[in-house]
Amino acid sequence: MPAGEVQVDRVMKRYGPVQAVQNVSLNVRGAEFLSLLGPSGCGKTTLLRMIAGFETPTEGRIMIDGADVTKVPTYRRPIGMVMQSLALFPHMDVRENVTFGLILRKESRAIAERKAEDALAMVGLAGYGDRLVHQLSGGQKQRVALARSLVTEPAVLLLDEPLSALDLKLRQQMQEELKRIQKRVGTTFIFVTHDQEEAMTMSDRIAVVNEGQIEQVGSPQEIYDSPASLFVANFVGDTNVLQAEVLGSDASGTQVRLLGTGETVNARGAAFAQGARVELMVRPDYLRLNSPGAGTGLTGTITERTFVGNTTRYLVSVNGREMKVRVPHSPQVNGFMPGQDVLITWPSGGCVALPSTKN
Amino acid sequence: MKFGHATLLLLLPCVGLLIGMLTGVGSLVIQAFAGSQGPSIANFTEFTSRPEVVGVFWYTHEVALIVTLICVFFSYPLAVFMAMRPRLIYLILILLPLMVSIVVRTYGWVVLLGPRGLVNTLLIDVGLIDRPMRLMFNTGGVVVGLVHIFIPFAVLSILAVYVKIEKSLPEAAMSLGASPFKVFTKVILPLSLPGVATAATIVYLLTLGAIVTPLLLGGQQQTMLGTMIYNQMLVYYNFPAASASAILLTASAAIAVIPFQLIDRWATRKLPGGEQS
Amino acid sequence: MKLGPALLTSFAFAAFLFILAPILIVVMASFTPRGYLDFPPQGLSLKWYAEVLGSWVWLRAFMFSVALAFVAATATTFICFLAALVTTRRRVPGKSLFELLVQLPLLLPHAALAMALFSLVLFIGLRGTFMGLVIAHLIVVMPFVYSPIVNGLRQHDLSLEEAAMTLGADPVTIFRKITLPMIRPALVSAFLFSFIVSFDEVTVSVFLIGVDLTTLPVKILSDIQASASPAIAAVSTLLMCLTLAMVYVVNRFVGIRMFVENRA
Repeated sequence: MPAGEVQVDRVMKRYGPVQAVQNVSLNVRGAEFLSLLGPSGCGKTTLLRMIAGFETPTEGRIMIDGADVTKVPTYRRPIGMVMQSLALFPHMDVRENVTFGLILRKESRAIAERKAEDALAMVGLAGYGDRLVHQLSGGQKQRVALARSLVTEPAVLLLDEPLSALDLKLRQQMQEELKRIQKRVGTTFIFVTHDQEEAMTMSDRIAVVNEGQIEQVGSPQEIYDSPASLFVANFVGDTNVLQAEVLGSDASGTQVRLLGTGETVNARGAAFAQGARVELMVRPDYLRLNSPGAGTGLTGTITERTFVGNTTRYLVSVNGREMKVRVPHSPQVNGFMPGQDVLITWPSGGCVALPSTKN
Repeated sequence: MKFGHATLLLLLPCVGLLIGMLTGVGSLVIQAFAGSQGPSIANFTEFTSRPEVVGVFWYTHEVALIVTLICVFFSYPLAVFMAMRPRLIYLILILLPLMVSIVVRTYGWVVLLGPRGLVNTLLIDVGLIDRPMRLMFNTGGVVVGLVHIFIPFAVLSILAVYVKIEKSLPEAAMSLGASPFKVFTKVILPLSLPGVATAATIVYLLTLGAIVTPLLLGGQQQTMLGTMIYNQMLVYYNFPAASASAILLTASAAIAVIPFQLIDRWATRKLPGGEQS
Repeated sequence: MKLGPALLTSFAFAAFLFILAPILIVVMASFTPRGYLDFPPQGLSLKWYAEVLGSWVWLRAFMFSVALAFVAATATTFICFLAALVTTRRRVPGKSLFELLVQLPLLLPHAALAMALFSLVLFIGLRGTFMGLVIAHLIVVMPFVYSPIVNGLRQHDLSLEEAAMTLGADPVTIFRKITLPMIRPALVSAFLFSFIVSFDEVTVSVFLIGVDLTTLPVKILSDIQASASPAIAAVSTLLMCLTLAMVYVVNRFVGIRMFVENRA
């Protein structure tokens, strides 16, 4: 079985004056589930379509398992793809859809149909071969599209937001199933999505794409805990951003002083020059609320409280700035009420210093 | 699939046809301006200097206007009816006549309105008249025949726009306190006006260019521009005169449909894409 | 039922009757045993059908019309399909002018179009020949063919072709197995519709027929002017049956509603 490694090597794509993808390099490991995550129009789909061979890079190379496929037409690349529209052939039944690629690979009809049946069984649609495409539900269509593209045993499976048309429940169910199937077949999955939760749930690694560039590649936890840029911090999960000044910085971390309150905080983050302005990023769920005077931290006043079930969201006015705090819900604790003064504390290392975007 | 520059060659056969068509138009124009010594406008001055020919010109536009008004007036309620009861059978009833040759449909009116036709026979049998009435070879016969032939076009044009009107719009208007009459005049009519303008344009153009129906139902007395061209060309073999008539016909048609196009432009001025069309 | 809808319904049925009456009259008249048209027919007879079907002149005109319509419809469908493939998929310089010219035969008054095509056929020296009529009919039916094919291609989801490509289909396979099956309904309806238009066409044909070369509708036209023989009614009825059969086929293949949608 092919390893399914994909190397995107300094790839650029221009449409006239528009730079859709700017000098992107990315190594996708064999058998991993990698998500390309970013807002719409960030270039993630263009990147995927270049790996598929629908678009040719203006510059750069794309390699699959060591072979340069930049100039290879789609139909000779060892890939499969699940399109956003799913693109099931409406003039064929389910079996004909799934055997389509096998027959093109000169498989005998009997073998093709057996493999198709296996693939359908894998996605939980055993015995659906005779159904017509328009007789299927949204979730069933997803499964057929997946079976169709996996049955040819591609080295890499490309998925272009295939779940975006489903409602939330079905979507979560399909996410788990996709993950399970990916682990079972061991095919490399490259999954394009704009939904950070979806990317978090399914991926081994996430590549966050913004304005045609990859901002960060890492495991979901790395991306969440140690975002490499403010964009990543904001795009992946809720965040508080505070202005700070660097007191000292070395490989183990950075000590900063918050502007305004003068609080000293230990933050993670690369080495900064002393005295540099940085942005301090801290997730609302790292923060804790205490009664004033219970230690050191930021003092503020609750301005808003929203109960959302598993957590309670607070807005706290600190020195004229709003900070978001999320506290896990427990039935015995009533928490704080708007108007109350509170002390915000966070565990050491809970925040990250990022280069300031304002100079 | 990607279509490269080479695929532009696939357009060639079609472009060939278009060039053929334009060659025809071009040689028509050359004929029309051909005089005994080089180019001249003699064919056109000949046209305008003969009162009976000018009379045919105005008569044609008069008939076209009458036919257009009648067609629009009757096809609007018919389209509304078809939109309210979207049954295949009604659609077939409208489309089927379109698929039957104009000659055959006009022939039906000859059978109906002729001296020995159904209408005259019935009236004589009942005793209302004792000699056949003149029901064709007059303007009335021509108008009835043309309305009959072109009304399906008008119905389809209006229907196509009418069925696209969002069903919730009249309901919204009603919820805002509009009476059925107001709903019609303030919401439905303005939104369906582009369909009416299209219907009027099509019917007007078709009537102007008609040959067969005026030929069979109008006879030699009720000559229209189409039949005049037919006679000039196929009876008198006067190619330059026929060409000049065809050009005047086209030019006047282009001018005559401007009001309909203005109505359409006005009706769609606030709709998406309305300004460009 | 309220007064308004009742009025509308009765009006609609009156209108349908008006639209159908002349056609029904022709059918009824074709069964008269007399030598001229009369109403109501005194008895029923098929003698005019026998005369028409036994007449070489009528049969020849019929076969000529069928051949003409078949060649014109086939060629135009093919030509417009090629053109529409390009115009729907890539930037074409002067596309709006191109599409306006394709629609021109519909926009020109019919008599003027007939004159223009007459000039063209005369210019290339093909008046009174089969080829001359074919060329004229190609241009006449072009707008009826181009629009439904373009609509068909626009509705055709290009991601189907991309999906096929990721499954290993090369361009030729994609065209055969995806593109062609997907737009076959549009092609079939374009073909049948243009066949009917060409088969029924009189105004242009009447300028182009030859001495012993005439289409069925033109022969009907000249016979109506010359005589009142019920044979014309019989021919017309047969013609309508043929049209009816074709409409039935269109409806089976693609649904007749397509014609309404195409006009929008």
